[in-house]
Amino acid sequence: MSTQAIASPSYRYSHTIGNAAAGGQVGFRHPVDVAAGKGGLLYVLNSSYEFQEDGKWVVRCNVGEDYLGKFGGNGDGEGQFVWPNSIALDQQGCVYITDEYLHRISIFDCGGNFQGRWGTLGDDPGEWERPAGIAFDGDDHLLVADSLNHRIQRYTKDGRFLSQFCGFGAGDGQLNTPWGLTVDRQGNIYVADWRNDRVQKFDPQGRFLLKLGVPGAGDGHLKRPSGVAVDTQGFIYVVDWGNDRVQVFDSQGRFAAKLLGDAGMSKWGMQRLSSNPESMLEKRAQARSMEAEKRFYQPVGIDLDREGHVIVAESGRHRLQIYQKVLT
Amino acid sequence: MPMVNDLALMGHLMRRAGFGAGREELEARAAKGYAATVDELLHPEQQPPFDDDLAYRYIPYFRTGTGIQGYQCYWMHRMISTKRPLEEKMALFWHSVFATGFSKVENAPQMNRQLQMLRQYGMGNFRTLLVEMSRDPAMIFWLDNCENHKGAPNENWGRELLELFTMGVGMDGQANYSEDDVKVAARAFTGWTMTTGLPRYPYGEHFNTFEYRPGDHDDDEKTFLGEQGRFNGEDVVDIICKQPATARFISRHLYNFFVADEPQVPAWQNTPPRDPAAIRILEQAYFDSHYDIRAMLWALFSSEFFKASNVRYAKVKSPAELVAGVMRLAGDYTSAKPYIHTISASCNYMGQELLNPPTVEGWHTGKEWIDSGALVERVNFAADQVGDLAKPGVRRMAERLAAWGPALTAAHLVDRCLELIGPVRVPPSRRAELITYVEHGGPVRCGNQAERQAFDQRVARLLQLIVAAPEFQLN
Repeated sequence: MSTQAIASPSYRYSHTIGNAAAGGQVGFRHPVDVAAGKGGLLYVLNSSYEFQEDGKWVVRCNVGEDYLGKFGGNGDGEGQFVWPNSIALDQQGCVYITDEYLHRISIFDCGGNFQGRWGTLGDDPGEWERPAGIAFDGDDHLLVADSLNHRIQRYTKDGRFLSQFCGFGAGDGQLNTPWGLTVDRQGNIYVADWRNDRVQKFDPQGRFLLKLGVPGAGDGHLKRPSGVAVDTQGFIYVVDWGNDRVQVFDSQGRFAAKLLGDAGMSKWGMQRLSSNPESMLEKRAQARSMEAEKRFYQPVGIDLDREGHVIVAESGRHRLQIYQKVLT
Repeated sequence: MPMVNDLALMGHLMRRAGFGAGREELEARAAKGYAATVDELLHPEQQPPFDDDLAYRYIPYFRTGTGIQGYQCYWMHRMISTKRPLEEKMALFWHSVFATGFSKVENAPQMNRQLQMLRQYGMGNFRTLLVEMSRDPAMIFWLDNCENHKGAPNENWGRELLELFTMGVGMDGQANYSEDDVKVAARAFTGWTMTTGLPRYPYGEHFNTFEYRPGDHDDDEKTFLGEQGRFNGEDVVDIICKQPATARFISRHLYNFFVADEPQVPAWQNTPPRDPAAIRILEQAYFDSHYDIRAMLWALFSSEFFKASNVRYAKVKSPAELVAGVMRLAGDYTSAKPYIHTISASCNYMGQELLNPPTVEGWHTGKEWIDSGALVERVNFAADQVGDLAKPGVRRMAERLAAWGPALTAAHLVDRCLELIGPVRVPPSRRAELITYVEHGGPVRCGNQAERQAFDQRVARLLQLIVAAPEFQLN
């Protein structure tokens, strides 16, 4: 057997976007997913609180940390969310968002104007129970993790059912309460098999190809993975939700790297601190170490942009941490 | 088929050792037997753990919320849906004793972490629990032990440790400790502090952790409760644990929480226990087991004084017991579900803001839970829930009642409703009022679809009347 040298990736921390914000402020509140659009545009899905009226919203911003606005709302009305889970953009830049409680997908244009919704609770083909992760394939069809039916379904953008694969179980090609998913350039599908503590890879027809991760906390181990992304070189990025980290695997499923969090002060965070410098900045100056603040705390969603940024939505710290891959 | 008396006793056990149970659960437990149920309650590790992963997935603020409201929601969710009710009830018990408040701590995740500690150690050895509580950052901040320094002691923790958490000021008319003992206890805990945590802005709260600073500990010779030595905090805990006053204090607290109302704690020095023989049994269990809370609870739940009919429905439910109990009865919020803040907030409106007691003395209990405003809240909350036929538990009750036959007498319907909802014991006059109410509605029929719809509505209204009765406010 010949061995082939594999480029070993390393990651340079780039910057942080966000801060803990109530509805009326610039920032995030429990961001659970992020979608990267063209030109550095980002859509950040905030789960927040039901007990705040404007507590469920999508922030539009860019990688340069310019705040561009927000849309959405708290409730079961048109364009509102209760348990927003995942966000994806189609080829026209329209925004699709799943809601695990309302069992539906809501659609917005790139400016955040509500366009429609679809979805039916059930377990027949085309129906779902608690839709979670979503991603578009190369045909602009939508793949949805139908979490409580433990399967993946494919739809047209307007909700017409096309196909399904997987079912409940722990064997190869079976799922248990899947969460995030993504599609690579070849149309292969990667699913965060949440309750099985692993990620599985399927071919475009849904045939099992590969699994990675085993339960645990060591390198290459996973605990309740929530998000997955794949870069152009085939590296697989897994949000290791239960271990508060991101792990990177090569295209064969071998552990390649891990990210534990390196957050610095964001622009919005500094604005917040500057609003009350006597109190906030002084308290920070008294802290013995800032290390804990840098680390991931309940990261959930992940996306990659065209500039090679790895963007992690970190629910527990109300921010995005952004890395840049460096190949050595 | 379990006997009615078995079900009544099981209902009593589950209301006191948990947050109540629906009829189906009571029947299953009665079939298993009282002793086996007590054993199961005392060994929560044999039951499935709470599914935190799923709860955190759907409701992220249960794990990483920044305000206290989210953690109040989380705790209420656990009280309603836990398979380990006594574990949760003991957390509530100890939270009432070691009353620590968000109003000062101002770090909600830290408060939640203290609660997790109470779940972990609440049924274990009392010495271990005391040491853990002494190391708990929320408590250290709450009672200023971070300001308790060698040469400049702060007595707050030392005082409350003796007065409110372990011995009480006195018993049988005598003082349990002196002012000097308070000062020495404080000195023994110098150097027990916590790391200065990161500030909450801009990314949310961080946990503080316990830190022992030997250089700040007063290591001089001390005399505490008649013993001499260079005592540190754990030595003081050891001495406290072997005091008869501690056995008495914990026994009275357990009796007050699980059996029958005692006077408020400040009166315990001069007011003897309501049932001295019961307290002696608990004190004996405390010493025989070397301070094991589980052994005390076993003695309590196995005793005749706990099973006696005169203590049933003789305690006013705390708001948390009322709210969680009603929701378990209604069968709602038994899994993660949004808008639970509307449920947990009811607890606040009734006078018990979980994780934020009014003072270090905790809440005054018994009849002090009730005033005119709180009573209206309690009745309205319970009536809203049991009057909603969309709730699975309410629907199940209506279905069971309908299964009795196409026609019931008013008395039969009232008696069955009282059984299903508790069983609740009401005086004859109350029963007569309820029967009269049903009779005003005409014959009770549920033979066809139209009759069944009307029947269900009548059941819902009858259940609302029952929960509005004074007897339902009692545990």
